[in-house]
Amino acid sequence: MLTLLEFLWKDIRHDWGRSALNIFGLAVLIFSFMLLNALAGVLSDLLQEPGTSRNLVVIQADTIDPSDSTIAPDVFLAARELIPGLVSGVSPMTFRHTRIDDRLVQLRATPLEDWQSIHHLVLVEGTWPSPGSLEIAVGEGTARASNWQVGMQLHIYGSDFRITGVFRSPGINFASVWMPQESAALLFGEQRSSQLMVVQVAGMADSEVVRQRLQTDARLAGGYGVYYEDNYTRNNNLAIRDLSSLLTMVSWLALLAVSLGTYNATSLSLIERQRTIGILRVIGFSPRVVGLLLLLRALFQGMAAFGVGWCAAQVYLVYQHAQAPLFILGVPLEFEISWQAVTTGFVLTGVLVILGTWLSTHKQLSFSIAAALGETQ
Amino acid sequence: MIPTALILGLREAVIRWRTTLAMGLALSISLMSYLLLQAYHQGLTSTYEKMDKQFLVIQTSGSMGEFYGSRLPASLGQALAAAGASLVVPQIHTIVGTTTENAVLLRGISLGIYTQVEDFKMMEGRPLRVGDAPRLAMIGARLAETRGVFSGDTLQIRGRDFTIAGVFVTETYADFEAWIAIEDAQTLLGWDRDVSVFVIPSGEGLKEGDSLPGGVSAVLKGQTGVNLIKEWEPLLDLLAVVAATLGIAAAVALANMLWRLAWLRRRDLAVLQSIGFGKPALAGYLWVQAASITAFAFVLGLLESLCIGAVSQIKTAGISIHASFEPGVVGASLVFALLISVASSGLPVWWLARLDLAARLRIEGG
Repeated sequence: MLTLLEFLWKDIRHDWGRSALNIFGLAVLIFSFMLLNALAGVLSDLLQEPGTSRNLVVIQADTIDPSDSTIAPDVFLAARELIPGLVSGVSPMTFRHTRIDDRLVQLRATPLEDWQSIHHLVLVEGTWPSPGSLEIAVGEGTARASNWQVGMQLHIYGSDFRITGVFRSPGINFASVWMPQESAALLFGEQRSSQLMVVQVAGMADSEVVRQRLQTDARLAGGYGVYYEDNYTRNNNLAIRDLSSLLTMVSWLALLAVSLGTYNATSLSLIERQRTIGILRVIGFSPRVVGLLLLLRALFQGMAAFGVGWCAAQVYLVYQHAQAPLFILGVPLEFEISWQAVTTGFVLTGVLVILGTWLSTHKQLSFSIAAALGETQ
Repeated sequence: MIPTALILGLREAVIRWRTTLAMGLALSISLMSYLLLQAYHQGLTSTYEKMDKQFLVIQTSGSMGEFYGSRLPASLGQALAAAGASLVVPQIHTIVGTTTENAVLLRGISLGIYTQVEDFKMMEGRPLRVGDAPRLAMIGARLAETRGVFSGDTLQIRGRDFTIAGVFVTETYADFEAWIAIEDAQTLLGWDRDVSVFVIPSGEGLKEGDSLPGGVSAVLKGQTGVNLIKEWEPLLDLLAVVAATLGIAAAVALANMLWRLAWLRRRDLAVLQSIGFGKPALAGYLWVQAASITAFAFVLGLLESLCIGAVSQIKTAGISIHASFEPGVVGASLVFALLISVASSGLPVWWLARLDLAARLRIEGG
């Protein structure tokens, strides 16, 4: 085996130019797979995010975008009547999609006291805004991707707001801008002040019972929908789900090409080295050993390509994060290559290399020694 | 000499059919990626990029007013007329439905004046007119196709049955919309007298970018669609990097393969050169191999992308972004394929032409 590996190493060194070309071709496929798979993964994770799953969201029925919804005062009454047994908190939310700094973002406003207790926002920098002031807090995802910092001014609906804090939160909230509800009332007026109602289910209560109770309440029936918060987010991000599926499909196709690339490289190698292989057979190498030699050679190139492609994808991602953060439909995407993708990609690259080598060698190695030695090129 | 060289090149591609097939399959993945990228980009721009500089849309600042998210009091219309606008057309834009799958883009239109600001063609039925009974709708061709309805059928909007008076086509995202009288929309949504936007002629009192008190601003008609495209651009840029990289890799792999095949035939080619085959014939010999592989890969890539495009629509609420395989898209991809074939054959030609002819002729046994 050691002799075989030594022979292999010498062969690769002797033929380094072609090996490098083969590695480059395969590395590009791995690079594409890694990038597309990482992007599909982060989109998929966005939909899987557990969020605050004990929260329920109430929105006007037949309203797809929350900004078009209006919650009537007696709907809040219906939810507050369930405190404390079934519900531990009710939070009205003003919701708008708006362009800030030429970027589409979600603007959310709720009473400041609900931010931590109901919406699970965690302050990571600065301070919370003061109610009724021109102050806001931004999600860390949006802050990082937009390069927004505490103290900066942002122009929102004709007024300049100062960022006082950066927060971390579960679900898609990390991509939004928040202000206290009193500030939103000053900005938008008192009319249509609530687009959503977020209901926090009490610790011991069955959330499905609470959902059913609210859904069948006469004050909500027919006019409002009651959803689990995480389900609601998922259902409203169909575009992201479709995109994730499309990217996954193309990434697997890119990886499949590894097999075709290996097939070609090995086939050409066989054609070119027919005489050399004939000599190897004469000195005692069986077709199986020659096949093993070619397989090891292809595996070496495949694994080297995997390393190069993976590193190139990592470098590109570092560049992407630093130079041009990726936003899709207002959501900043800091995608990275997961260990799962690396492991799966590595194993599949190996399998596809073996497949490509087998396809090219299983018949072509069966030629006779005389025929092989007759070929001189 | 060149026709003979082309025939010999084609013959070589046929003799090495397994290698040609594998290379074609690998190359088709690069071309498929490029085609899909171009087709989705085209689908996005043809659906959403329709700016109309003749008109301004007055909407809630920063909103996507021509889709959803803007709400203005009716009294603003009178203020706009008083400020000098000769035509003030109120509209409602929102998305209704219980899930994103059954969502409908809804537009409330002023029956007396909407034709002055909207450009559409009726495919069947008739447009809405002043004096029409309530609960009548005209719907876009894509919505009619998706729901399988025609004029005379009914369409449920927010749980109410609307009779379809006609089906129109605009070749924009409006083809996904249902248009109803603005009064019907206000009743349906419970908006009282509120509207989403006002459409006014440009330059009559207001210009693009002007702000009004209360967080209202003027944008060009169609700006919302352009803004939506901007939201997708970073992703398209990233995919363009992937497609370009795959293209370069394909060209390198093809060049490597052609060079190696030519190397195997180096003595035969030297003999041909010695009897008068010049560099153009040599180039033709290699290029025709590259072109035949690329042509095969292009057809395969086109089929692959058509299949993926057919099964992978990107659906958002009420609308979908589809891959649009217009002649321009196919043409651009064909040019991309041609570039790959030229680039991949160029290097082996240059390399082969530099080899010593006499040395190649002395190779044993060819």
